[in-house]
Amino acid sequence: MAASAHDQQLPEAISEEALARIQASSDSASLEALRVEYLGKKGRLTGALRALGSLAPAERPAFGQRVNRAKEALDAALAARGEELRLRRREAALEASAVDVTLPGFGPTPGRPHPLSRTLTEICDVLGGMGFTVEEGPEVEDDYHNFEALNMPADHPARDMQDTFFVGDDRVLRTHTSPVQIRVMERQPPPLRIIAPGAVYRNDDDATHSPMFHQVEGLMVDRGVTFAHLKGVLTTFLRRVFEREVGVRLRPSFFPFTEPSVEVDVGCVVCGQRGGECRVCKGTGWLEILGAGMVDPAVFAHVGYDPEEFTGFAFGVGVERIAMLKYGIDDIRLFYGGDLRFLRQF
Amino acid sequence: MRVSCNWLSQFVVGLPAVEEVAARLTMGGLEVESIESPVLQYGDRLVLARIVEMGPHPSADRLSLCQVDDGEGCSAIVCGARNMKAGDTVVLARPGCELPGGVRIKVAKLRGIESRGMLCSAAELGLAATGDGILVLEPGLVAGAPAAPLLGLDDSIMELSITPNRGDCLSIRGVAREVAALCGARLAPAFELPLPPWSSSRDRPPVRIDASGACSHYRGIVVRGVSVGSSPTWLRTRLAAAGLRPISNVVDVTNYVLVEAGQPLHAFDLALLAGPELAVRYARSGERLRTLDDRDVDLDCGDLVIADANGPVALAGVMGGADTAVREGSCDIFLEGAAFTPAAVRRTSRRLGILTDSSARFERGIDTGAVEAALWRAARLIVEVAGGRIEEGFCGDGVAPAAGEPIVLRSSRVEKILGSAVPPQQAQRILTSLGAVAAAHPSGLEVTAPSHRNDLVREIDLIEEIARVRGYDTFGSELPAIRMQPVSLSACDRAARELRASLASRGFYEHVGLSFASADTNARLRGLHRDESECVRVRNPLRVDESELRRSALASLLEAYRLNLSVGQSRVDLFCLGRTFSWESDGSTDRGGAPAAHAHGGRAVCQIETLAGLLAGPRPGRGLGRGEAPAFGDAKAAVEAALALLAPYGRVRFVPCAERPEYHPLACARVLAGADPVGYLGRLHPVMAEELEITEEIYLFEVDWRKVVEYSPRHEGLRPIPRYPSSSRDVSLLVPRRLAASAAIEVVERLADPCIESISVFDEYTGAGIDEADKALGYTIVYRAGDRTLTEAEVTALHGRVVGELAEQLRARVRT
Repeated sequence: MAASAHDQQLPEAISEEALARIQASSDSASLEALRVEYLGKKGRLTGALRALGSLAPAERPAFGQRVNRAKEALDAALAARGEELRLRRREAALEASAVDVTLPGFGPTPGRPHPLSRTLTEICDVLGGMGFTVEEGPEVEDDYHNFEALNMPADHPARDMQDTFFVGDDRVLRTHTSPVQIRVMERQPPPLRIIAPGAVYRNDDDATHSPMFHQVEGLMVDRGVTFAHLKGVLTTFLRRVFEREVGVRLRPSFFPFTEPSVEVDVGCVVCGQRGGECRVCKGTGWLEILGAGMVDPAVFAHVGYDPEEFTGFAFGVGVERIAMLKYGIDDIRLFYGGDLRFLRQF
Repeated sequence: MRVSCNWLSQFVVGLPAVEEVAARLTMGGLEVESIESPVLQYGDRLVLARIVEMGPHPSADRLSLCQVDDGEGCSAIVCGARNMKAGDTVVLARPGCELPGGVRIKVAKLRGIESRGMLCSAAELGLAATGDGILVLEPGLVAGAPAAPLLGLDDSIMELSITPNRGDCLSIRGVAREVAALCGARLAPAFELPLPPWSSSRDRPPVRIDASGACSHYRGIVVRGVSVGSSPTWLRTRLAAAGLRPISNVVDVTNYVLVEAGQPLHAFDLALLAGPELAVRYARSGERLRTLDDRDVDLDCGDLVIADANGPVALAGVMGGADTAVREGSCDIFLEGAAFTPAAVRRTSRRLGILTDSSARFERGIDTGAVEAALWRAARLIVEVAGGRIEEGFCGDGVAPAAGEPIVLRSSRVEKILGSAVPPQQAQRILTSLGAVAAAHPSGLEVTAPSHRNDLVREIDLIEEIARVRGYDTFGSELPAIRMQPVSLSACDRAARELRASLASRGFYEHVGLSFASADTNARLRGLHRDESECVRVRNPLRVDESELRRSALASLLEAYRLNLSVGQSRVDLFCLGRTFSWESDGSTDRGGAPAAHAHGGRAVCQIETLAGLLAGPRPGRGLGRGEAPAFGDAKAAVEAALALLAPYGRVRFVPCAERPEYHPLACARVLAGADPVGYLGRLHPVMAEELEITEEIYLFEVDWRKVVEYSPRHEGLRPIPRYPSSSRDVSLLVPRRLAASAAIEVVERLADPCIESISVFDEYTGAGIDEADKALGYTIVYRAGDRTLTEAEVTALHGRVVGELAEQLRARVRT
């Protein structure tokens, strides 16, 4: 019987052969087949163990140990190879579902709001944050609200400053957003903090003037509102809108509906007030940016506010003007053409 | 207003440098728009000289040789011109003198004769654009005197922008007064206009004011024996600095005084006036006048005129008549100075479109207290430059208005407006510097405004003056402490932002178009306005194709589309938010939300806040590729998504609409918010596309979005989350091709069975296997009860009933 042990293949030989085949296996099914072939109930290594009985008792422990070592080696190899194949499968699955993330997303590429809308929104947000509420009024206005109630009676020379479009029946295309002041004051008592954005019209047309453009009107009325508040609010507003500490300068001016009246300049945002050859500020270092003033008592009289009790300031700012300065746009007509090559830049 | 610094320096003692004057004026409210400064300094290198002797150049036919006295002796000058003669006064550029254009004068030998300088032409001095011949000045000038001041070559000119309230600054004296006040300088003695030696007026010839509301006083003065000719150089130089053309010595003097004192004057040829008297009156209908600029003007009874026995001889304050004007050969002149009211002058000037230096000043109001002084100044100047003698005494009618009531200026009010106190002494100093009389008063000052400041009538006017002259920068700046009030974006403002965001995210760019349209466009695109409503015509359009306000926002989108197509853009998805306009005969605010129509004598303008859009060109679907042309569904999806921000999805409905001329009759929907029509959506009508030469299939939409905002219902409260499962069944119906898919939905909704949860379309099929006149529509119907699980049998029974109703009501066949 002792010879029979030698008839059997040595466990090391079986194991060596099995390990090579495990290593060569390429999928989990063939790996399982190998496990059955070697370690199954009728497996070859299991068979080797069954042959233990035919060995001399003295050889048995050593042989048994050798078979067990071989089994352990095979188990470990099967598990390792199994894991390896699982990882490889996962890799392959990932590889198979790869996408090119740099390809464009589905559907249309997004568009943009108009630069004037963006600017208008910024203006309204800054002033909204300071407690001003948005109001609106008609674009085709009557003479009373556009002129008369704003202290510009018929034949007032100031009417010439505003190249007016007439549409008949005592109506005009509003030349400014100021009539909204009147409409709001007619409707409600002080205190008031309002802004009125919208389109306005002047009979004028060149690179910096369009027959239609946009303004934001502001009005604050309360007890104790002074010129100092006008300065404070407008300075804060302009610095927020231009997102920097621009210089702000107030010059006397004239509007029939405010007194004292103010023209507000900001330090040139294009040349940074270095002057010289700057085309935008023409070397003066200053840009005219908005008109303002303390509400004229005559305006209060028109709406029945007591000018002794209430004071206020009003201002009007051109949206195009600010957008042109912020974005470096040199021709106002670009805003209204709808050219996508322009609109895409904002 | 052009202001010569040389002229100004006559009136201001120690006039500061032009840059400082300009800065002070600008910060004082008289904006200096530009400064023309002399580029060259001439000094004594450019002098007046007298030609002592003139003869031909010995060796050149075309040159002449002059002996010229330049005050220091005689020198020989070779000259190419021959328009001068011995005895003439000319301008000599001495060696070393640089002339405009970079010419530097040197001692030069010309055909063998040394020439020590050059006699200058007006063009060579930069005084004229072209011109041959040297500049010959009038006799009586001193040889050797520097030429630059006389010719204004050393002058700086400021271009001032004068606001309409400051008519007083449309004169050199007015500006001088401002400069003195703002720079703290003194006014020169010459500033005071000389007063005539007589105070009473005499009637010679008699003048009568028949329109006292339009003319407070009228004065005339007669100068006899003048000789009309050209003006002396100094006068021409002054006028040129002011931007005026010299005409004749008499007329030039009137213009000179107009610029200097701000008082318009007019000179009549006395011999041409028909007696016995002049009248200041309104024109009678049918009267005509030939004006100085040779226009025949038909007058109406609102035009203020000066008339003699034969009729109007001048448009008061605007322009004189041609037939009675001073001309060459006039001997006796009648010089007019008057105070016409701004309204009277403005009316005629506007009506006839004649804007003159005179009308500009009357419109803003002249210094009514200085009419006689200006007239006297002009008369004396006329005698100086044109000879003659002044006939003693004014003629005229009316009296200068009395000074206004004193204004009480309360110190407390100054502080209330300006935010900080101004000491009364300082206020007084400022007001006095402006020519006002300011006396102490218990609450501050009592101020009488000077006659040249007709804009100072109220306390607030004085407060502005104090702030202005002291400097706006001397007042504090602070943020107001406010009484807090709830502030929120208005619903509409928020909605507009959301619409923009939604459409932009779907690939649309926002377009802002002008509100104007041509009549033709408005006839074609009727927009959301009632068809019978009238278009709003602009009376004075800039261009013919902008003669109306747009009814529809589509026109500018179509225009933008064409522009983009022409520059090679393919996908053009645009939207715009803006108003559209029409007249509504009934004055109610029936359309257009808050800003809508306002009643006004029956008619009102309906102003609809419109959301409009256009889709054109291939758009990508899922994945890459060149994309597909837009379909109705693309447009509808965009509109649905945008409006879903304003009203719950599903509340805005789309129903077929075949009657809009701009839309394809079978590819157009009317948009409804609840039961209210709010807009349209559809394919551009092929006929209109052809008219507009558009070959692509494009889609348009236009919605009165404010109505959707108004419609937007409040949230109805939470419905419980279903506790029992639902069952769904599909049905496929064979229906006539033109039947709307919504018909089946309406049928099922009308059943109002509590166990029917929803019905939706999942398929539309035409083609193989189906009659050409038919289409197949697939619906999914979801069944659910609120209180139990529906059994299979219940669902089957209910579904059977639903299918039966559909088949019957729609005459549909059920496909199996």
